[in-house]
Amino acid sequence: MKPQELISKYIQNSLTKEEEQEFDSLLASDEGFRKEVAFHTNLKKVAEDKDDDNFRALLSDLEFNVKKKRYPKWWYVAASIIILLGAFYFWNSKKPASNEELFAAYFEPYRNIVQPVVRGEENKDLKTIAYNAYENGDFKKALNLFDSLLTHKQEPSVLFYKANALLKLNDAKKAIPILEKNSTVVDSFSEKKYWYLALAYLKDNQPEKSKEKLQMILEIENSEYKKEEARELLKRLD
Amino acid sequence: MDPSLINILINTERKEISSLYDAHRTAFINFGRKYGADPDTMADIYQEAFVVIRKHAIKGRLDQVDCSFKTYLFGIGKRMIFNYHKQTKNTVSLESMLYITDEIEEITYDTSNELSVEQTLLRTFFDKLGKRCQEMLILFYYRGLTVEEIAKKEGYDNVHVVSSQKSRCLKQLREMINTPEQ
Repeated sequence: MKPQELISKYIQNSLTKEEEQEFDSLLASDEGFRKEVAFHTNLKKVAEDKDDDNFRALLSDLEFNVKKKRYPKWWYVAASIIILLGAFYFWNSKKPASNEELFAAYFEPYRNIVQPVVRGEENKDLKTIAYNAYENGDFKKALNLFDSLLTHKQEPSVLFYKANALLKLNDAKKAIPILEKNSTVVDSFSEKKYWYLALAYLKDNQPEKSKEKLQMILEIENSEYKKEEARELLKRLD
Repeated sequence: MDPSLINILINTERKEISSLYDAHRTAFINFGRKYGADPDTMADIYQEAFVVIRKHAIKGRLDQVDCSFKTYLFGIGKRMIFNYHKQTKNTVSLESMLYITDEIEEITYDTSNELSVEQTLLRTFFDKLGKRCQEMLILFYYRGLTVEEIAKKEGYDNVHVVSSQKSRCLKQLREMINTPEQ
């Protein structure tokens, strides 16, 4: 049997007894074969990791919907207050909400979905502390810690949360390039990056750019993330 | 366990997962309350418990299990709550919890899921692949589907298309690995 076929069967746990012997003897004698096996074994682990992350993204989307449904009364009350205030405001000044106000109405730092419990090496502890600070609303501290994490490694998730912390600290100018730079990377934060980018541009008084990003959210397939809000915000920006 | 539920976990159709997720959420959060975990923490634990039970489904560990989906899910949750208290060094006395009676047995799970340095690097390359490649490699490498099964599931004309597509994806990945960073 070809070595490549042996590896495929090994990855899928379908080697027969004889094939297993063949596999083992190649593993013992052939350096190149060993490297190939290592590559495919790593890829198996990475595929699992990615699949888990995709599933997590689905779950946090479901959770978001549950929370929305769970507080319907609150939403109604909040919505009526906003409408009343809006009508009052309109009546008094006949001026639509400013970009700044729209930002304040829609922005909320993305919640921490990066595993909060990591232990072990110094590096990982730093991560735990950083995300804890973020969760507890200490965004200055979180920002500092994210920065020191990033000197180690430019991890997309850390960059994403750094941008969120910056937005919360009213520093949209710095948040924009981070989100822009990463917006082409496809990961579990993809649609979220557009949403936060749209808000960042809004905050930075660039409504046209903001609209562009909102439009992109509406075009993403298989995701309901923030679509409703994006539609609503687009209307208000027009 | 009910094979149809195992299949729902493996297939991961949004609609089906959604109804499963909604069905047990409230009970799960209340279950956690009994063990001193607040609802927000429990919402996170609930999601992680789903991730674990799906892993077990994919790896075939649920096929031989006698208990119901709910009992298994709550068993993982119970274990996670204990770990959570240990890690956050909460003042909740672990000992007093041992006297809480319920029929839920703790389910252990693999906690060493951290990627190695090499794997982390590979993961960043993997993320740069197109969606189709990612899906195909996940189906083959993680879900353990054969080329024939992938062809059927993804609606490819024949197995050769799948094989060559898979080779192309692997080639792309290897090229990224062998190209030094810009």
